[in-house]
Amino acid sequence: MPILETKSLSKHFDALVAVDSVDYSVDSGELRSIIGPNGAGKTTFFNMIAGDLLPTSGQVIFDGADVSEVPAHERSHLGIGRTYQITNIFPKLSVLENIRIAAQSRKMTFNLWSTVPSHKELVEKSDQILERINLTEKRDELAGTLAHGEQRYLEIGIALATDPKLLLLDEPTAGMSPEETIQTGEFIKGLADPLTVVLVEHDMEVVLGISDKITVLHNGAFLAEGTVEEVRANAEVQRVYLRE
Amino acid sequence: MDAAAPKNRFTPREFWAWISEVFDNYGILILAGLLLVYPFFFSALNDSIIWLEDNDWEATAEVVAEVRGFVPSTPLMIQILIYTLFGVAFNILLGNTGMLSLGHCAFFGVGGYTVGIMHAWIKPGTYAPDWMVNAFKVLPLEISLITCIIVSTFVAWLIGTICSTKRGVYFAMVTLSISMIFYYSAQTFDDLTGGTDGLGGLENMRLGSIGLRVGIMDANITYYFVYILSVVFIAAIWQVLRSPFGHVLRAVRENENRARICGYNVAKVRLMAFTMSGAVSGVAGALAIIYGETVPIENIHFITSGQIVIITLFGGAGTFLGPAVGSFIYWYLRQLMSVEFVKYLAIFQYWEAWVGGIFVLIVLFVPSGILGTIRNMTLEYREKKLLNRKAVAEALAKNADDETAADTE
Repeated sequence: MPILETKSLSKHFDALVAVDSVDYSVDSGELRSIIGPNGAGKTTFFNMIAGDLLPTSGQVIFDGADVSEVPAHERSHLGIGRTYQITNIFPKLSVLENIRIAAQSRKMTFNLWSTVPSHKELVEKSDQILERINLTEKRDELAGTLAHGEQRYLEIGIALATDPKLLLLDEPTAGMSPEETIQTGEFIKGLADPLTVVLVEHDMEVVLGISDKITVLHNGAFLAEGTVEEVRANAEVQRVYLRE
Repeated sequence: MDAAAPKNRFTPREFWAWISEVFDNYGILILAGLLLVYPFFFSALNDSIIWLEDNDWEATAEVVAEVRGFVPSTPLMIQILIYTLFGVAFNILLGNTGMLSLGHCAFFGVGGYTVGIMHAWIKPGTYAPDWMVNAFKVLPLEISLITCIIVSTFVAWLIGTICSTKRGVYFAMVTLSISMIFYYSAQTFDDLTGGTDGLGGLENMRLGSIGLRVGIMDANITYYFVYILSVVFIAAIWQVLRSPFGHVLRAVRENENRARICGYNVAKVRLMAFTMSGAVSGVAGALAIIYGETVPIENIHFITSGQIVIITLFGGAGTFLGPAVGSFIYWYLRQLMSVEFVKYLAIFQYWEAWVGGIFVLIVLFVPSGILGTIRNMTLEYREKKLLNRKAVAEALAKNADDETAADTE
């Protein structure tokens, strides 16, 4: 059963068609990638799934319900977590607090009469996630002072702390060194199942190595979809993307 | 042992770091304790002058009287306390949620006018309907204060729904314009509010439950009344800011978009912060009229908004007790200049210019405010010390390794 579906999803910015009626479907537990040259509409497509942008037309169906018009914060509660192409964390809060803020959003927003450390399950959950993204030692440092790669991991940690069913990663390896990129690829592979992961990537190496299926967008429209071999063999894809 | 080993010495820098740490952890308790005994201290000072005069120590009495001019009086401390409460409430927005409101005079004024109007008009021979007058022989202060909390919460919620979706400069301008609507309303409906003359005639404000009269008659009683309410509300805000909700506020301040994607309804969080801030500002406004027993129209004028911005930035918007420090400095300087310094140099009568100048200097050179700067310095120092300790430990470990290696060879 698909956890995420889009039906002729489109986004127009005035005359510019950023995403042009894309039909897309992801099954639960899959690790999928979306690739495409610059300006293919990958990020806009993500923004519509996560709720940062509302679609011009078409539908986003998540977990069997139409969420096209649901605001971003409610989609997070439904189970859509995401990261951004440009690192998007709380730079002036500590690493631990970054994770805790995300974790606590599941339980409470308007809790005025307790303190954060008194919620044991919250502390435990944050510790687990810090362990998972390998930042336990730096928990008290300001997030903004971390190295670039660590910040990327922290952002994934923030997304994980919101208990997502679907994790959208927008160029998770952007700006990373080749070694880090390989590591991150492994890390992302480890996240999939039970989680469903969709990533947008520029770096073909990462994508080709780990994805179950690859989708190619071009000029906002669906171009091809299939396994690594199929996409590689596709003449259209070779023309617009691989050769460039 | 070698000379490089760290000596256990208490440097001035460490002393300040220690002070700052104590202040961070127990600052509220220390301040509350000091303020609790302040009227006793000031009365003792007054009494000592009388005692000295009675015992023919005229010269000494004169010196002590001269010194007293530089000690903040109890009424001044009332003012400082009220503006501390106002500043702490204002700082829920500025320091914690990152919203600069220029319209907080609206809440301060509305709080004051609510209590003022109730006490001025709910008595026989006025506009008030008979049933209202007959309900109380004398309107108790508890009733008017509770009404004030309800009214200012409602007003804050109303203004909040209009402007908390705005950001930055737009938010500042919208709050400013809305507060000016309140100001001109107060000026226009002068039958009710007294207009530019201020609202007088609110004598006989007493706490019905214990029959205590507060107001200009007794500075000490008024002081303790204001003190208790301020401490209760400041403690409540302190708890709110360390609660999970407080963390959400800071998350919204740091990165609104991230907070939203984490699942927070940012608009609602901002509205909630705005309402709380406005409600407590209303209480501060109510307290501000009690000692003077009049409601000056300046309380609802933009000047008051400006004052609270200055006070908060003086002390440090990023710190909880910053407004307390700011409030003290602002009112104390004002008093010193306009009463004491002016005796020696007439130019000090323009105290606003001097305070304004100091404000400019603070914004230019210590933008995080006085407490904020002290805290930053301490944090920096602690971090450096931590790094040093790490380096020493690593060096020692390396030495030990080398030695074991040498031993095995």
